[in-house]
Amino acid sequence: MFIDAFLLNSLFAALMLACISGPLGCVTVWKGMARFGETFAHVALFGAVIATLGGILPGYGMIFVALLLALFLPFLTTRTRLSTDSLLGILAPSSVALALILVQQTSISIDFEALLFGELLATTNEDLLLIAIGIVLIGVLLFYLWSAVILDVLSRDLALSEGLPARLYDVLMTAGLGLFIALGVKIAGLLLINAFLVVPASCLVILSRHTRLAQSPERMAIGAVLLNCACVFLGLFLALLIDLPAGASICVVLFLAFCTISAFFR
Amino acid sequence: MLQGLLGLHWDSRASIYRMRGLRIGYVPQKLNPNSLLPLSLRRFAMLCGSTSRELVEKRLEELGIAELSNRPLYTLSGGELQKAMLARATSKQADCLILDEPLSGVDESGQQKIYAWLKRYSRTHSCSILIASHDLHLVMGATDRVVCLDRRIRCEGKAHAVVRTTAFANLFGKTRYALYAHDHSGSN
Repeated sequence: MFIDAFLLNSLFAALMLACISGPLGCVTVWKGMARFGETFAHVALFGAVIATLGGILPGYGMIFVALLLALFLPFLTTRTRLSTDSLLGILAPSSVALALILVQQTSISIDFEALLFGELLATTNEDLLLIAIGIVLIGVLLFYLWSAVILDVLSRDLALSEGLPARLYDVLMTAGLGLFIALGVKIAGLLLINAFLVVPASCLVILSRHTRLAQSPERMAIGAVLLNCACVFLGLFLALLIDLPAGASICVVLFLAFCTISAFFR
Repeated sequence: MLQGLLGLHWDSRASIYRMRGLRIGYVPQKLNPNSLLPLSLRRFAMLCGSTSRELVEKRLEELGIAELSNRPLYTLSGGELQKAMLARATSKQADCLILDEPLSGVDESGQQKIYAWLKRYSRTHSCSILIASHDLHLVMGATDRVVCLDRRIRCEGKAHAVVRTTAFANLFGKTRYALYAHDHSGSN
């Protein structure tokens, strides 16, 4: 019964993350922000270390640092006049290096392996609640900004000329992405959380060029949700069947889905 | 200058007074649709803003691109995209249209048809239209008021008067321009 409850928790957690990462991943891919996810995950590690040093739960530190990065990134881009891509390339290794130094110099213990690969099968009720709250927040954000973000992806000038505060929306979407990564890293790990974002959305981009079933932004997002959920079920099933690490198993199933789709549709 | 009027770029030396609640329809010089985003022409025309499907269909029909309405934007040619942006801008019941080289990529006969359509649109909808263009023949034939810019305003006025000014001759030489007959009851 104990094992069943944990398995159900991990299934629900993975499904919730899979559902929200469908539309969020589409926006990430359209806006060319795939690198954001990776950087947020690295910066979140630093947040976890800082939080542990301050005696609070690592999850809160991760959320705080990820949101801080979302707010300061546009400022840093303007101040340094460097591309966002370059800044992300600077921030990701620096934050991991700082985290490692802090861990080595202090007496705290952080399980970096757990943060990299996640602890899907150790999902608690508290984790589930936190993810559910975060996902509702991100869902509301996506629902209200969806059309504006699509117009902004097409042309920033068109969006601004029609009075849309596109730069504010950018910060809000980045904050939403940061929140998603911070919530998901503890459960799904750095690897799976980025795979959830980028792999299904990329599969749906390929499918949208071949089938009308994926030929609208909404259909793409729904398709990404379905693909993510199918991979969660199959990945967890394989993990149980042949005793694989759950997060890595889902990640490999997602990759196989991508290989199959890119092999059949060119 | 157009970017300043639209509020996209701010020049501290300039003053722009804009009517409160003014709705502007904008057609940029070029749109590079993201090939990762499967957005149909119809959906693009309806995206963000108060418009109806019927009105969008009517505009697409008038501009001759109705049969493309289900096609993803990234599959359209340059001229088709310009028409798509025009359909979008005119579907939103704007008070004013700002068009930046709006018909680049459209063939010459198509351009004349669309300029004539814009003239009708301006009159029937009481909508002012500001067009930036380098195509002097079309500008002279299709507009009510011309402003020639070369770092500053060189000459301005009605087309037939502007072509006779020295400033115009200094800027563009003594080429003859086709000034099509049109009445001046509209506001473009």
